[in-house]
Amino acid sequence: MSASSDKAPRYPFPRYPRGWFQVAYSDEVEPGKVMPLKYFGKDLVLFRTETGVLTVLDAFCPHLGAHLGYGGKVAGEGVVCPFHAWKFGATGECLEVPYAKRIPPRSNIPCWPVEEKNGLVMLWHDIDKAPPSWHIPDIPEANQEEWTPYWRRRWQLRTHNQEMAENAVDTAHFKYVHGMKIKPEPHVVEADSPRLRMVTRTIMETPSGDVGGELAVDCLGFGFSTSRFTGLVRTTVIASVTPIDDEMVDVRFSFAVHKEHGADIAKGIGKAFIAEVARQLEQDKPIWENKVYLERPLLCEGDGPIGAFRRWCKTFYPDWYAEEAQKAYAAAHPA
Amino acid sequence: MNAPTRDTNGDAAPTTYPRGWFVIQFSDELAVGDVKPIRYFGKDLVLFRGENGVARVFDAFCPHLGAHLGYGGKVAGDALVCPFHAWKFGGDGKCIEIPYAKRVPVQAKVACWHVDERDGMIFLWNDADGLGPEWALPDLSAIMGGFSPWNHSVLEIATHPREIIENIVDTAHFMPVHGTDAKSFRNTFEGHVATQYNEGVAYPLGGGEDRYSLTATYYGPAYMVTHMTGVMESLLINAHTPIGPKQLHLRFAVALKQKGDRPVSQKIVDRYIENLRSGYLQDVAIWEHKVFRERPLLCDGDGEIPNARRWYRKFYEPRDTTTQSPGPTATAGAAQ
Repeated sequence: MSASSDKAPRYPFPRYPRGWFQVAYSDEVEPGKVMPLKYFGKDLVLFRTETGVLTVLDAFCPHLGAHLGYGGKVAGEGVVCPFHAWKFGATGECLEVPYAKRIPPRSNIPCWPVEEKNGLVMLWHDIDKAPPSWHIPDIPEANQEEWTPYWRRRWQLRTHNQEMAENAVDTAHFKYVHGMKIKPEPHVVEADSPRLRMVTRTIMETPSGDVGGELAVDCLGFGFSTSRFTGLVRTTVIASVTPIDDEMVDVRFSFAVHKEHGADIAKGIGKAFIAEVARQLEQDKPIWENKVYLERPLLCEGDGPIGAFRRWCKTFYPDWYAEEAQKAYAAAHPA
Repeated sequence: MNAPTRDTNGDAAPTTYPRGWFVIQFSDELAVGDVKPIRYFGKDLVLFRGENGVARVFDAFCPHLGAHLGYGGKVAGDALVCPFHAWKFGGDGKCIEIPYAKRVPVQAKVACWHVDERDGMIFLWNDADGLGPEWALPDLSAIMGGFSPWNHSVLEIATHPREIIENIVDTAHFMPVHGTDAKSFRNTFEGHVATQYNEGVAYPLGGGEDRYSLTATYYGPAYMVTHMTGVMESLLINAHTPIGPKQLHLRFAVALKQKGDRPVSQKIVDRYIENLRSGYLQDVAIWEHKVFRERPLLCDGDGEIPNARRWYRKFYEPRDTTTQSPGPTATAGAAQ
């Protein structure tokens, strides 16, 4: 057990990067549904109005502090506080106080940009509260006839988005952590913020021998990435990582398998392949949860393009936020 | 056990750690090939036993990309392999192989600590100045013949080490805390060794009297060996190791020997150990909740508390380099 005084920041970069982050699946939030959320160290409430408008607000009523996510109800195009029935619209403005003649000024609740894409509910986070500077595209595999529906896995891990993302460019770990037969050799195809694209040749071991293939990873910031495996069975994994608080992240993997040649997510090669990807994440888990971040890692030939990756990472933190995090880290970890 | 910090009412504790040998594990807790994350002196470390049987301690984090070698690291021969990219570190902490690279960068190494293993315990040498061992540990094997193996346990408690060591001179606590009547009691302090000679009568839980005679010796700031003769002959270990500024591990072990050829049943042995352990837990209960007084109000009969404190303070001060100390017996090669 480690000492309880270990509250020093674990990383020399900020906890909450800018970008789009998954907070739910669309089908978890039918019209009229109200859900409490906890992300970015904040309590939030997610609800869908009767006409289907999806909204995320700060959780607490400005009146006497009730959490709208616990007992709040959708009424028409707003949510009604469980405590004194103040009603708030889909942009957080107070629409009604049933027992008062007029609505007090400054009674609106901060509202977060939210979009639904590919069956995922995505939230925009920017510490400076700037509006979204890019959007998540529709991906061709989502909800298409020739692709299976998502098969979902979820984990909560004690790590940081940036640490998880670094794995994609860390070529050497594939062999030694995951036991892949030949080290994949990725090369950065494009590192143009917010996008990072990589293509990697892979060899997967199967009961019927080794199968060559390709893995194309497409990241949009730290919250949303699409990995496309071809070769054995065409499989796409949407990996979303959302910061919960100072310690934990929420990880959702959504797998879809192309139905060609009768492939199925629930059996045979499709199922085995997904189990393999999920197994690989379980292998990474103890490393992520216990490692430190070295600002000047000792690299050697054969390591992936970690330097280029880390430069891309910096684009998701405003300068002042990065400096603040660096200072706090340096103070807590004297050289 | 989580006691509130008492330093708000007491005097400030040092934030550094004393120099010396500390017990970090009993030998039977670490098999060949075992790799364990440990945390002592405010540092994350990794403890492992190579196939040659030698126990080693390294700083925990790989210099490459920061993985903790104690979570998923594997022993290969005498070396430790990082779980992340399979960098392999030899017994002295130097990287000897990166399986995917043609050459190993010269700076690739992890700090290696001085470790000694003897008498069924694994010891770590701590030194803020990064120097090697100043003294060798005693060899108990000469007196351990005929004793049972260690019956050992560990507790994590919230206190500072200076609370633990004062016990060795605190003659006045025997009756109120342990119900023991110490008839004769004296201390000696010599270099890194502090000794208590104590004779008296104990009143065990089961009733009756136990006339005892004991020698309790601290070898350095944290490792105490007690040799006691009473109804049975016993060896006791009382060893503490700081985890962080306000937490420490307290290890307690007992080995017993029958007197003469009178057979003693296992039940009596168990009862005897239970008695010794309950005496020890009486001390623990006080340590967990007391405050430390820099200037205690002492009276005659209190024992040599100022001498003990003077003796203990030396382990925090820079070592005297004018006298040559005995050579280290550490198995580890490189200094940390």
